[in-house]
Amino acid sequence: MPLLDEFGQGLDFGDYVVAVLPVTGGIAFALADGRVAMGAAAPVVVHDGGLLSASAYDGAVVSGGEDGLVRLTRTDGDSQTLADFAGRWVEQLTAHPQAGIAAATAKTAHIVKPGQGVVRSFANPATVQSLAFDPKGKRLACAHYNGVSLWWTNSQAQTPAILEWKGAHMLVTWSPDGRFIVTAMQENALHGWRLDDKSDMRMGGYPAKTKSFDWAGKGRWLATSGAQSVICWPFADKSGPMGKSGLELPGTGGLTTVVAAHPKSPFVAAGFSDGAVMMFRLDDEAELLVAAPADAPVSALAFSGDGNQLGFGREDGSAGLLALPA
Amino acid sequence: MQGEDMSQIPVTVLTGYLGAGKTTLLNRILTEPHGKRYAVIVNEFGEIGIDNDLVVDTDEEVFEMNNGCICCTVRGDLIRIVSSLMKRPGRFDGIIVETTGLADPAPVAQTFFVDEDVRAKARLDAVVTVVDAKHLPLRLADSKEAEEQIAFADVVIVNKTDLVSPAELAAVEAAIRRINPYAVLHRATRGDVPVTALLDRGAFDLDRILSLDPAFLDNGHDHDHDHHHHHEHDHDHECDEHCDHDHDHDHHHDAAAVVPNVIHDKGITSVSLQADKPLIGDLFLAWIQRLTQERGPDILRLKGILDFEGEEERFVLQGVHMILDGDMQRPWGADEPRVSRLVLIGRNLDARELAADFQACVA
Repeated sequence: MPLLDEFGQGLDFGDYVVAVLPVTGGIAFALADGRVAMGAAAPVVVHDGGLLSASAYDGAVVSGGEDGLVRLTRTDGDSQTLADFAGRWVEQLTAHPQAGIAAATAKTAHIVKPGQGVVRSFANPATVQSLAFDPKGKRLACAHYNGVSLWWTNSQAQTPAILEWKGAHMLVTWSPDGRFIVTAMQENALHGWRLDDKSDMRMGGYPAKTKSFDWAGKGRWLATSGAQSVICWPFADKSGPMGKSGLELPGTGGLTTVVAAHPKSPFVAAGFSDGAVMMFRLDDEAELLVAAPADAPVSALAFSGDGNQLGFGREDGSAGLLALPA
Repeated sequence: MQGEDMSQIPVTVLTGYLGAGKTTLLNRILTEPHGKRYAVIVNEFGEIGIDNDLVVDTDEEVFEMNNGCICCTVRGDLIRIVSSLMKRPGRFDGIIVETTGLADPAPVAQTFFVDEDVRAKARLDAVVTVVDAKHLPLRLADSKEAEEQIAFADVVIVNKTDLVSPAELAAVEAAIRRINPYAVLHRATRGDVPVTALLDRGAFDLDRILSLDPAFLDNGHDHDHDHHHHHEHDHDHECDEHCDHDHDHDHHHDAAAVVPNVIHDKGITSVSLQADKPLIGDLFLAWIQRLTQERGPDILRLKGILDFEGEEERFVLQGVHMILDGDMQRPWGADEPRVSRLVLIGRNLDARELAADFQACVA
């Protein structure tokens, strides 16, 4: 029996689930029509038009919308505007406990803090496709066409360090040990840089674009979507995955659409294009069916901060929330 | 790409040189009481914006693809915006993309062939090009974009016809026809064209090619089929230390030998090929792939409906430069003539050579 049927509940939000996020006491769902739901509670309207991006921040949900607003929504439903970009779409957003919130409108990345509004703005050479802070929140990586720009978050006047690689970089992540930056490209491949010597690496073999990746097992693995298996690249060694093969965790037959790592244990949860959700243990590659295939692809999933809950959502608004058995 | 999947939202690309009247036409489309909702993607906010419609401001951002295809470019901003909009299907009836006056239409069109996410959710319905009847001769003489915009068009709006004499208008229309005999041509004074002529035209355009009188075309007869020409992926998940993936991105925009004519253009012509007997599918596909690989930069657009030996369904093909997209579409109708027809629009096209190669594919 799928885990959800035994330990959880199915939900239906009626609209595309853009993000599932860990918040104080559990899990929140951010929906494309501008609403945010705290667990199974009724969603509240946060954006007029549509919600484009969301991230977890300070136990709450920070989100960006077509209305040009960055909003912070707490678990009690209270929602406030942190920044107003006057109708420019806030398409990318990430957050760090110390550094604050990074939000992007077109080529510009902004640092936003509650109570202070926009504290910094960084002009990139091309549209910002994705944002990632380094583990300490001192630097911000902005992925764009032909590379990644690295900005110091505490300094306004600066020239960014640029990691160059020809092509469109659509997604970026910074390894938890701070040594690697990896991007997902328009061409169904990942590109990586080892920061100490800026050496390049390329991870390929995907039949589709990687649209989701996450660092699992204390940063030893980068779990990725874009193939029928969940492909996990080994990053424990000094040279990362160079010259190595990825670990392949076979799914249900559909393409992996989204992945999320457990915050404490070496588990990875993955959602698939056939609507199924699975969990894998990286140590022995044991697998568990969380939710059976359904009508729509899984579009987001996440563990709660304590790792005791798992939430997922699909493109048609169906979703699930479960307490994981100990 | 054939407009048969109703879950795909139709996308109309509105192109045309600066001052041709794109914005006037766009406003006209949006204000007509058609009861539809559109998302409009523009390069800068003008005086556009109607209740129920969404205007998205964007910077046109062209990405070259690292896939070994010279000329394979896509619009990064469209990939992003279309993907976002399509998270809420049903919110809009269509998407209209307005390009800047100097835009090369190829990246816009190629986005709908190359990007899998966009392909899944949206289909290119038509490229509508607005030209200024008064100034088109000048534009054709001094820019390659004006000519390419006509070459890419499914529909050409000859605007501001009140500013020219009947003789001038005839010359302008002849120049358009020389570049692209297959586009539907509408005359207008201030963008006054019925919306139905522009939006949600569906697969109509491909079939229209078949309905054209071949005698009207100056080159031989032909008809085409399309096929999937997607890029190979190696499926071993290996990490390479040094992947050199330099390849040149030369764009060959050489002027071709131009047939002398009153309006000076930059040598874009069209070739129409037709075969009344079935084609050997494998032979045809091998030829068209080789042709587009070798001559991709010169081939702006190709379209075809093809009859393959042993196949009961029509094979429909579309292409932009090196990108080909084709599929078995539907069974041939009982009273439908089973002829193959292929149309190419581009530079330096040798009609005789193309016709010979095409005829060599006949079973």
